[in-house]
Amino acid sequence: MTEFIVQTFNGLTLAGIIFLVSSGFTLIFGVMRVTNLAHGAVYLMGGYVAYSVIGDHTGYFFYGLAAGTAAMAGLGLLMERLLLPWLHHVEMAELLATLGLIYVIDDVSLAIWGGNPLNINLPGVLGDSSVLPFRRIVYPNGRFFILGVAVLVGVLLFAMLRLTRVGAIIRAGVDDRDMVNALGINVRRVFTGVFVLGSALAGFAGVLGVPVLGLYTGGDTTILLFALAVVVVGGLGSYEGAIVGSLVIGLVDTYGTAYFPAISYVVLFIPLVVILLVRPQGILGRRVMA
Amino acid sequence: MDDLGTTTTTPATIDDVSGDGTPSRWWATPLLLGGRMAGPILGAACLVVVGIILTSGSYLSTVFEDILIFAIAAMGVDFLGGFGGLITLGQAGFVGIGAYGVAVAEVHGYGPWAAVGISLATVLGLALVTGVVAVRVSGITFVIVTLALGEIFWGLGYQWTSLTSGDNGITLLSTPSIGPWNLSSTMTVWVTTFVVFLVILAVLLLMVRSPFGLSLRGLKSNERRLRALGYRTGVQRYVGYVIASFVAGVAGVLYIFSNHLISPATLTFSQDGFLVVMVILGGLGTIWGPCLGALVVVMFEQEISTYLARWETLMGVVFIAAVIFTPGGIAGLLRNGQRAISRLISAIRRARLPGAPTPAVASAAASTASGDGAPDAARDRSAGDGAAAGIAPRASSGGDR
Repeated sequence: MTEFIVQTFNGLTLAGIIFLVSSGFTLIFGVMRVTNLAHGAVYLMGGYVAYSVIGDHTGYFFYGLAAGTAAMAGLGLLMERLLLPWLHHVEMAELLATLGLIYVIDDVSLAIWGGNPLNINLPGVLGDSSVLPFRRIVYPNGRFFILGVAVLVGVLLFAMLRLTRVGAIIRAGVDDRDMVNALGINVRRVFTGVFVLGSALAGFAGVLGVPVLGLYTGGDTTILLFALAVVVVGGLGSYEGAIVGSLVIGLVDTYGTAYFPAISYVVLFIPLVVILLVRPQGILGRRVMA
Repeated sequence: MDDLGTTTTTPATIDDVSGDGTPSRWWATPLLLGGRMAGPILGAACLVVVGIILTSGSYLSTVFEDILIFAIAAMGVDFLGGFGGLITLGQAGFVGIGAYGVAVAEVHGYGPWAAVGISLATVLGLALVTGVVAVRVSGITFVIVTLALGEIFWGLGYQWTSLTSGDNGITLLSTPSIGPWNLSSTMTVWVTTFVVFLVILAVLLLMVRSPFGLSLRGLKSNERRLRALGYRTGVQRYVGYVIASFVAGVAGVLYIFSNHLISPATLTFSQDGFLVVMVILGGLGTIWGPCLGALVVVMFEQEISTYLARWETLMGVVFIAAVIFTPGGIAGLLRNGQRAISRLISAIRRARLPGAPTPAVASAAASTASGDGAPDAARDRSAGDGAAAGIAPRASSGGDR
């Protein structure tokens, strides 16, 4: 039972990281209909940038977090301004171009930071562990911190989407892009903002994810798989779906790795299969007319 | 878009018939025929060259063996993506299962022939099972689901160490043989790969012209109309998916006999992506185009990489440029060139030339065709082949999510 509780905490932490990545992915898709396959590569590069800033000084962690987030926001801006205009909103072309971008970003990351696994440690008290009041479970503070930050970001994003004018525009953009345009809102600027926000979220998650998942070549594929599984389960383009999907995928993957280590990837596929057979548009996705 | 060079012929023929009957332009007829047959002739010539390279027993033979193996898998991706409109990003998984199937079966004591049978049966079984799930969705979601599937196959190879030896991979134990035909000789593997490649090329080319292939195409252009016509589009997608996956499995079987080692590295997302890069670079919706794409990608991977450490960056940039500027890929460029030449030839046929021209004039005129063809190719690019590829601006509108 103790083992199960620990795994549940692990699963929630993983869900937090996955949520940060997949919320960015799903926002970009929801508003712009861009399937950014390079989202995982952006996540990984965010971690690398933070590593360069932090180095051996664990105390610089928050500078690294800021640098990784800002750098990936900048990369997102570049992608949105320099690459996407060439693709004229053709969804499959955008998907394929971002597939090509994965090779570029990963290769550049490999050239700068090399192929050896790197790590970032959390500073001060976050690097320690606490004994929980029940069952004397010892658990690292850092994971609670990461989970807390993910929840905080999730709540802030939710509030932004539900309560602010910008959020209303974004939600309207998800529902009917042409109508928003017709209302005189500069959709172009909204697109740029959303893409930058999504990329920043990926970079942010990339830094926070390092203490849990590590920093290594190919780590982007794993996180991309998680993010894609989340949007299939939760519903492509649905923010609330990303929350639900992250919880499902984070917990399922953690339990799978803990209890069925040989086939944890297959276990991960079970929620996907169930959703595709029962509700192909995802739990909170809306059916688009074919 | 497969009716090569037929677009320009009709006016010329009418002009010829309504003419005064003098055989003034008789010499252009073989040229026109040549224009129409240029694709098949060029293709056959390429195949002969590949055959010569393969049997030369040089270093290039091994390179071309790899090219052919990946070309087989890429043709499968094109069959489903270029004709059914369903682009799979997980086909390296089926290549891997084809290869793992043989190696694992041999480790468990089966003979090489039985191992091949077990492998292909496993591929077919997995395609039949995963297809039920995958074809529930289409468009972008299909890409995502197949990507996830490919990753899961990779995860199996990586994590199920008792079966797959994990990261180390499994080496092949023995090779099948009948009399003098023995796959332990590299030359036999080369020839066998070539023969299998030719068979699959022919089968897929025939299949896309069959009623089933035509209905697949209809599925891509307007699924709703096809459904209204009474087609069971889900079944079509399913069959297309199973065929593409099985073809990838065949490539995997060849892969293990050429490589003698299978490890999770063959199933990575990079490899999944490479297959799609081959298809798009070569030309979606042509079957033969992806073979050229495989040539380019394998050359990048094995040749350019020895001179340029950052070859993946270059390949990524080339691929992105291809997506933006030539949605028809290499095949589209070739087709535009051919169209331009055909246009020029029919223009010559129509021209009222004083006196009887000589064949020499004709060949001189034809040799300038490539220069004249450039602007035409540019004009045609977005109109014709972009639409065929389905990735050109406005070609794939919404509704397939």
